[in-house]
Amino acid sequence: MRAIAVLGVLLIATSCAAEPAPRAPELPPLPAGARPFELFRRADLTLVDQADRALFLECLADNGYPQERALGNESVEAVTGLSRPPISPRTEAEARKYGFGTALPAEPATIDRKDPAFFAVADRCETTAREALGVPIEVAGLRDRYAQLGNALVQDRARKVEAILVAYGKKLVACLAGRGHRLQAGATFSARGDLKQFGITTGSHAPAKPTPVRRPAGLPADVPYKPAVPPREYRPSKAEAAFAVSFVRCGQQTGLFAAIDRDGLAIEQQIVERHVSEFSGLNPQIEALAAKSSEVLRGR
Amino acid sequence: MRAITRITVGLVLTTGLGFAGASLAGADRGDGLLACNSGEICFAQNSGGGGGQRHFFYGSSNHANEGNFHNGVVFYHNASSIKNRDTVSPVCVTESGDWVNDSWQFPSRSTTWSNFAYDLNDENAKHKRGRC
Repeated sequence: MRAIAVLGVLLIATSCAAEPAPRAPELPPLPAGARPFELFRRADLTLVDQADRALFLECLADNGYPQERALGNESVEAVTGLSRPPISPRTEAEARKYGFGTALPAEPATIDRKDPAFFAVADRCETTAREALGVPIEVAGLRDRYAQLGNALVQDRARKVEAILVAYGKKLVACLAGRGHRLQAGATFSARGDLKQFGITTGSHAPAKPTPVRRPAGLPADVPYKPAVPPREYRPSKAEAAFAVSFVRCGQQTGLFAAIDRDGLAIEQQIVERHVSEFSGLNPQIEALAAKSSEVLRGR
Repeated sequence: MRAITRITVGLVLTTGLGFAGASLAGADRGDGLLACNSGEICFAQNSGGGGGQRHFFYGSSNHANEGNFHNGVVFYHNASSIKNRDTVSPVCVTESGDWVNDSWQFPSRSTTWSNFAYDLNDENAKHKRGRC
């Protein structure tokens, strides 16, 4: 009896010892030379979104609303903030042409539905579309969570770069003042503020020139239709462009740009390490969903 | 001051809901209902979709960040979460600063509230349909 008990204890001890300890999440591997933010599978998220929309539009068409699909299903880049530098302008040419602004992307044509019957169908079609990609609630949740991870990277980087901007604030303000751009009376430099603190009125975007296109066939006359609008350039004001050139020169002269460039990779690495559990858990899922999405889009 | 604001908000909210049921009344640019429904870009005063609501139909001609949440709280710089139920387009939300790229892009047909959790202040200086 005693021997059996000892054996039992030994067996339990052995089985416990053999059980592997839970592993801490690890960052997925990166190809040599890649930046840490390339861990974010932006192209995969874009592909998932395009397949989801293709299936959604197909379902709308099958349920009495073919006009949305007739407008096409162009790929819309996900989390575009990640494709932009954290701070701009960085060159005098950019400064003269764009100031501190960016172009507005093209706007697709839009059918402006207000009919509750349409939205009831749209609700059902969201689920139908996602059934073709997996379990609808999981597909929807993954897409949202991954987009939130991308936004978190943009925001985390912005806060770090702002901290550098603040650290160089005094030098920057002195340099700008030397070039004739003084802070407004009583103002202190704010890295989160706008150009008004230097008395600069910004420019505006070129006016929208909608593409002349016919309304989709069969669209009821009382449903508003907004044609596509091509990308619109940003036109800085004269004062903004001059200020932007000074900003570039001062960014170079004070060492601000060099500091941002020097710390860039380390900042990205710190940020991805902060999100290790998301990358570790979500990357394999978004890759699998992107593969499925690619199949869905093939032949469509 | 903030605490007083919160208490006032609470009172307004309770009263508002008591009389208005599930309606957003005049503050809304969407379907006029408190629920965030298909076709709307929805902002909420608190994280997770709580507190005041302000919704925009994607075709709305007025996407300005002026005006109030349905409970009377100022909308500008006071949103803590967003749910993009636009059927077609992502939404780009940006802060007011001109120096650093800190845009947020939310996909269309989203089913969850996303919090603006990375800021000391609340977000939504401006928003527009489309990618950032």
